[in-house]
Amino acid sequence: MVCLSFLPHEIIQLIATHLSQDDIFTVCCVSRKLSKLFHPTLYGHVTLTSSRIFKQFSAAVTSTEGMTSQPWGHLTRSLVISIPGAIPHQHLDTIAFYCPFITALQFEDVRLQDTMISLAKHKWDNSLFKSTTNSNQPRPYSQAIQDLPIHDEITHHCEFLPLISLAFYEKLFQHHLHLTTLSIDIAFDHCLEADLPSFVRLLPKHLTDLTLDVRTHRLTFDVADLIQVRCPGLTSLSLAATDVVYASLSPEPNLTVNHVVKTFCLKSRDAPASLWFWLWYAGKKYGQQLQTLRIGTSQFHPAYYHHLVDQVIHPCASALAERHASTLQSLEMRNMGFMPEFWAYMHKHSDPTQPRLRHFAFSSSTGLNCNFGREPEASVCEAMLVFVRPCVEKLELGLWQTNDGFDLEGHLGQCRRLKSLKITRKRLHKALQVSYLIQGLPRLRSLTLASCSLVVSHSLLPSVHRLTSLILENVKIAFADLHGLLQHLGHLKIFTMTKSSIFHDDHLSISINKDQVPSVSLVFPSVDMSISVSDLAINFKIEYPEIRGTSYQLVLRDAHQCHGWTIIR
Amino acid sequence: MSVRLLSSDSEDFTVAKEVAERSMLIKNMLEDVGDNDNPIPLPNVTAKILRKVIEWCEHHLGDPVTNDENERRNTEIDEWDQKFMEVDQETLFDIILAANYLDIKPLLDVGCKTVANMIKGKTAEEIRKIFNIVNDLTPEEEAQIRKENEWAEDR
Repeated sequence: MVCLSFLPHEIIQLIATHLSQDDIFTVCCVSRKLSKLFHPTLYGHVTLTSSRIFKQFSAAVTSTEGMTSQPWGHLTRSLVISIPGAIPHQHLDTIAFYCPFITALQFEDVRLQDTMISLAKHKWDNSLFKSTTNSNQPRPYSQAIQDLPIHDEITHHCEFLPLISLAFYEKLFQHHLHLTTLSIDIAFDHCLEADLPSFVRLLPKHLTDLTLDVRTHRLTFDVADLIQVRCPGLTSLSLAATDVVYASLSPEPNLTVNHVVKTFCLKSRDAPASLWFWLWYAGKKYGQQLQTLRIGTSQFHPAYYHHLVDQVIHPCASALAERHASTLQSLEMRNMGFMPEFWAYMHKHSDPTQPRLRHFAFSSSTGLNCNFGREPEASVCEAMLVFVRPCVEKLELGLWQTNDGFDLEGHLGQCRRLKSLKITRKRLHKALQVSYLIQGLPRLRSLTLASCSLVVSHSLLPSVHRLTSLILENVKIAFADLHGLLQHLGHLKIFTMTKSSIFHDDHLSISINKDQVPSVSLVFPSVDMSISVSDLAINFKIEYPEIRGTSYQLVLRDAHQCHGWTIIR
Repeated sequence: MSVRLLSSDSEDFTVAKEVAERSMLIKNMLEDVGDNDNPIPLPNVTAKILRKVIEWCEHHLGDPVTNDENERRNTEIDEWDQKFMEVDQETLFDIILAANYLDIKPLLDVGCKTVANMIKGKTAEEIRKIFNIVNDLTPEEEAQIRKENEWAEDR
C-alpha cells in the first residue's frame, strides 16, 4: 500500500512547495523516513526573519554533520532575508560560500547601507592598502572591499562609501551567479556620488524578475529602459521610488517596444500625479503580452491634479487603454484618484466580447468631494465597476467614502464571477448591507470587510451561501446580525475578526451583573473551522435602575481565553 | 475520435481522444504511433484509478492549459476537485502517482495540494495519526533534528 512515506522524491518536492517552512520542519520530526524525504526541501526555500535565525541558519549550513555529503546550503534555491536593520557582512559571506546555487534572492527591510558602512570602517581601520589573498578563491566581502584602490586625499570612511556600495553589489552578484529573481534596495542616497545607471550596469543579465527600490534617486524612463536593456529576459519588473519625477511628453519620448515583460509595477511614496506618466510609459513600452499592471502611491494630493487633466490624464490614460484595455488580466491602482477620463478610455478601447480583467484593486485615501466640482465619485465608481464586472474574480476596493446615493452593493452584486472580495471604507457613515452584497454573488468564497459598519437583512440571505472565508477588520456590527449571518454560512472554514466591535441590540441575551463580565456566545456553523477573534469590543447599555443608560464597553484582547466569550462550534 | 486505454489489470477503456490527451504521456504516444486501433497499455495504473483519472480529465476537458507554474501553484482547489479528492488515502496517493506517471500536471497539483492541506498547521503527532505513521525517531534523533533546524522552527 502506498503511503506518504513511500512517495517518490519529485512528488515530495511538489507537496513541499505548498507548505510553509514551519510545516516542513514539523514533518521532519514525524519519522526517520519523512525526515529524510523532507529535510532537503526544508533548505530549498529559506526565509530568515531575525538576526538570531540568520545565525542559526548559518550554523546549520556550515555544519559538517548531516545526512548527505553535500552541505545543506547547496540545496538552497530561494532565500528571503527579511530582517529590519543591518546584517553583519560575515553572514552574507556564509551565504555566498555555502549557498552558491541560489536563484532567487530577496532583501526585505534590510539596511544594506549599514552593512556597507561597517565595511567602509573596516577598510578605514585596516589601512587603505590592498590585501594579499589568492584571487582564485572566493573572497569575503571585507577582503573584496579591502582591495579597492582609494586615493590619498580621503579623510573619512564615508567619503568612499559610494565606491564601496558599488563594489559590494558587484561582489554580491558575482557570488550569486545563478540569480534570476532579485529584490533589493539601493542602499545609498542620490546625494552620494554613486549613480543609479552605474548600479544598473552591475545587475545580473539573466534576471527574469526584478524588484528594485531606487529610494531618493531619480527614476526616469531612461533608467527603466536601461534596466530592460541590461536584463532583456525580464518578465516582471517592479520599481519603487520615494518620488517620481515629471516626464515630458512633448515631444513624445522614443521608446522601443518590449515584448517580454508581463508584469510591471511602480510604487512611489509621494507625487501621485507624475505616476500618470508611467501609465503612458506602460502603454507605449509594452506589447500586448503585458498581463499585470500595478501602480500607486501611499499619498494622495488632489491639488496636484487640478490643472493636469488635459496635459497629463488624457494622453496617459489613452496611451494605456489603447494597447492594454482588452488584454490586461490584473490591474491595481492605489491613490491615483477617481479619473473619469481613464475609465472612459478603458471602455472605449476594450473588447466587450472578450473581457480579460480577472483581478482589480483600486483604493483612494480620499473621496471626490475634493474633485474640483468634476464628475461625482459615484459615477466614476460605477464606470469602474461596469468595466471590470464581466469577468473579475478578485476585487479589492478601498474607498474613502461613497455617496449615500451610490448603490455599491448592487453594483458589486453584478460582478457575477467574483470569488474574492475585499472592501475597505475609511469612513463609517453608511453601513454596508452584507446580505444584499452576497445574495448576488453565488461564487464568492472569500470576503474581507474592513473599516465599515455592517448590517444584515435576514430576509435577503440565501438559505446557505458557500462562502468559505470571512474576515472582518475594524468593523461594527450588531450581535444579532453577526449571529444571523453565520447561520447562513454553512461552508465557512475561516472566520477572523479583529479590532472590531459588536454592539448591543434587543436580541443580545446576556445576563448583566455589574460585578461580572457578561457572557456572550456565538454559534459557528462548522466544527473543524479556523476561528480567530482578537481585540474585540462589546458595547451595550446597562439598564440598572441606579445607572440607567450607562454605556459599557468590554474589550477582549484575546477572546478565546477571556471568560465570558464562548465559541460554540 | 476515440482512444483505447488498457489498465494494468487488463480493463479496456474507450475515451474521447481529447480527454486522453490531457495526459502528456498518452498525447506523445499517440503522436508517435499515429491512428491505431490497438489499446495503449498503462502498466502502472489500475482500472479503479484509471476510471477516476478519466473522470477528472472529462470534467476538466475545457480548462485552459497554463504553463505558468506559479499560477497553477497558487490557484486554490476548486470545489469539484475538493469533492473529487474526498477518497481514502490509498486512492489519493494512487491518483497522485498515476497523474505523475501519465504526466497530467494540473491533476498532480490538485493531489499534492490536497496532501499539503492535510499537513498544514498540524503537530508531528497529529500528522502521524492522519497518515498512520509510527514514530521511529529516538528522543536523541528528534532532539538532533530540532537542534540542526531550529532556524526553521522559530517563526
